[in-house]
Amino acid sequence: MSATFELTLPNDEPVGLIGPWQAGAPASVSFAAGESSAPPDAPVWKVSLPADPLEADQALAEAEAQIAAAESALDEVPARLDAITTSQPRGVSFVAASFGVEAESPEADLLSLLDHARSVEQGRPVSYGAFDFASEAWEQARVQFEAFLGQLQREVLHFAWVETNVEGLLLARTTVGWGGDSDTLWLEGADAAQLAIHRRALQVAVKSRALRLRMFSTVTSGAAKLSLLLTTPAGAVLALPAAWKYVTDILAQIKSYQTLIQGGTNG
Amino acid sequence: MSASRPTADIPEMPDFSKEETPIASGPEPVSAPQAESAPVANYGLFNAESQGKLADATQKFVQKLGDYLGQALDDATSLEVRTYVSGDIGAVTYEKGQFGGDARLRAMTRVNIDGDTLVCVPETDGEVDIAVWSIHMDMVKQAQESRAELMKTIVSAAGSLASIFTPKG
Repeated sequence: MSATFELTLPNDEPVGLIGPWQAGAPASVSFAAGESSAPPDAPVWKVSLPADPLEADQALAEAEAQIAAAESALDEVPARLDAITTSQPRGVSFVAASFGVEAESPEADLLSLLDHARSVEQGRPVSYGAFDFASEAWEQARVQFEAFLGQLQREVLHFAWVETNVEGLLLARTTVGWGGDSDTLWLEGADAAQLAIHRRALQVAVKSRALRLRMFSTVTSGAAKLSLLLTTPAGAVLALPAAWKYVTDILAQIKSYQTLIQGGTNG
Repeated sequence: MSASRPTADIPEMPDFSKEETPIASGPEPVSAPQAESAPVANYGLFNAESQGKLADATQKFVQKLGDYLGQALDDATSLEVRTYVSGDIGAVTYEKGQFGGDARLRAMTRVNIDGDTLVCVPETDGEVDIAVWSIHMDMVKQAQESRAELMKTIVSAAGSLASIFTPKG
């Protein structure tokens, strides 16, 4: 079996997944052996690993690397946004080429979106095809960001439920609150290597949870920076979807890159 | 030992994200002129309703998050870690913030902010169960590290919350 890292939220498909995480199957009420008995309102972070210790170790190492890369990418967002906001004088349309940014990069998409926003704000001529495209992209980002807010709100109210399975065998469960309080249930007789696996899985989950909160703060502070480029008094709120799209584009780009190099290493 | 998780007393908040959020429509194609480009009215993309909802949702969230994070920092005066074991995890229940059923509580540590520490040590036949104790101490160490990291994230997040609604200069 291949390793999977799944996040399941109550009655909702997770938005803004980071690193190795993918949406888990919707929670169902089940008391079958090995099935999660998480409270219905708890986010469940489930790590399933192959039995081979080397493969399990590699899967965890890749997940750790993906989380570290996402962390670094979020660290760099403020400086990357500063490079845009400080080099673009107000009142001039945003042309990606003038910034020397790569076409189809997150910066190019962001500038294109902002340029469109400015055009609409100022009533300047806009191609209708471009309008539809930008309007859709903006609306999609807005809807996603609102969904993310709702999910994050529920996440901060509840502890996280982290499970580690090896080849279908449930090794351990930990509930961990935002303050760090934790309860761990171990399978009796688990060996040292299995214990280490759960500790690492738990760390990946806890870091990922914190990163989701960091995503939010990176988006809001990013929107505040971008608002300097817009003239409307509600610029920061208007810029939220653009900042969200920018941050998630960067994280998606990092994930693709990591998947590529990890695939290359594995192959 | 506390019988409930720190989050248990927090009242359920209204779930604004589940409110209906009609998707703003784009420009009406029937009213579009024949020209390839034209000045576009400020609607659709940034209509007031759409912006208002987003502002409202964000502001509510920021307020609730700020309250909650502040409470999390206040509650961070102690750290509690519990270790359970079970021969059949599938038969373990979870109620009122604690594992139950087949789960056996084997060790507990509570570290207060002033350094006072309360420890319940596992024993088997009158001897300290070294294996469980070792696992437990690893979990305490990990919880302390996670807490430090989380607090850093929380403080950083709290710092950025105000920026979104601060009027720009």
